[in-house]
Amino acid sequence: MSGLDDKTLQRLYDDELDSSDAKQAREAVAENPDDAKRLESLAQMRMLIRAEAEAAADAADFDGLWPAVAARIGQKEKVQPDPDAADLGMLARWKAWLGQSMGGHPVRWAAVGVCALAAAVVLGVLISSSLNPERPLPTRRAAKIEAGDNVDIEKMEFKGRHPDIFQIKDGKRTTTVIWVYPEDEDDDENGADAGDDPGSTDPI
Amino acid sequence: MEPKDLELVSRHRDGDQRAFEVLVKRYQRKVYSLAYGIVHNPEDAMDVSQEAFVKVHRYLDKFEGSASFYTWLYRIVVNLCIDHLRRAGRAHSVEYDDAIDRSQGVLAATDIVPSRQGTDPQQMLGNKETLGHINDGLALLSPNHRAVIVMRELEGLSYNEMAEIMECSKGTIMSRLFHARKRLQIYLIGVLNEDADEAV
Repeated sequence: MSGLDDKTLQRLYDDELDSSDAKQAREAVAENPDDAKRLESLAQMRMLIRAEAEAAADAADFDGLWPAVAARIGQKEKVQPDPDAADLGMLARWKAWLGQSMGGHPVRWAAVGVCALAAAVVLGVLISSSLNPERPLPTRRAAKIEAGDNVDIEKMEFKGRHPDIFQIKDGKRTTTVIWVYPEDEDDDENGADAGDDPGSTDPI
Repeated sequence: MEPKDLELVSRHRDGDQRAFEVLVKRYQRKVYSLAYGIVHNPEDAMDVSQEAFVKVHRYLDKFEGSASFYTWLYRIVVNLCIDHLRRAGRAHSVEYDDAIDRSQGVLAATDIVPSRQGTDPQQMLGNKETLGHINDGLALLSPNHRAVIVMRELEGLSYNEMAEIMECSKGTIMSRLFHARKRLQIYLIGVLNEDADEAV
């Protein structure tokens, strides 16, 4: 009968015993031919399993494996576009940039946080100042065209009345407005200013 | 000198596509052998190998490097194999208790490869019939048992590495290995001695 239990024999065979236990186990095996035979049997099994695996691997064609993997990786990228790389708008590009440049960099994240905070403060100041009733709201610049201004229409007559012609300059654009007053307003010297109630007029 | 696995992983992360190709070619034979040892079908083993590398590529950025690359790779392969067998309905649910039960008998003190007159062990190793018996014997085992015996006998993985790959205790690995060996040994002793008797 064997001297070593299966657990110890297996661990000895698999080189999983610490050095002192292994030494003790080897001495036991040397004294017991049955244990030596069991170890030999394990070794034969390993040899057979390896031989079978080698034969299977030899028969396999690995030439196509990498091209197949490469194709699938490429194909996957085409089928499921990487949102970091795809042109999905500003948000996606912003996220991509964040992912590439911020990942794992706490200092950069802190810098972005400070910038965001500063931007929020500036925005807050602007909003509060624009809502201040003591400050006039910015208005569009509108100028009544006088004779000699560089416009195509200098003077107009409509039903015996003379409409006002305005130019509204907004950045690079200039819009020309021809404003015809109703008959009663036109006749009334104290009539409402044309800009107060445009809904009651007939802009042409 | 060949670059180490982790160096290749790092190069891949830096955008070097060639690094991943080197990793695939370095491990393709080992991955295939492991997969074949578990699924026992050449086409399925190749499919699993391909899937494993695609998965590795997908998750390589998440590989932390705390474990070795091949341990991580083998875990993916083993899980894919077991999933594959489950899907195919070929996964045996038969498992053994974690404890090594002495009542089932000890590992036999018998030659597996018969050394009697008229049989040459080396010749038997090259015999397709013998290799077929090993294949059949491994097929009798559950996927978990096949996985441990293949990882141990082919790759020489330690109990700790196998426990990490299979996400179980070291004791469970020892138990699975013992039962796998025991069953395979009994089967092989029977069929190979029968063959040897016929040859004599």
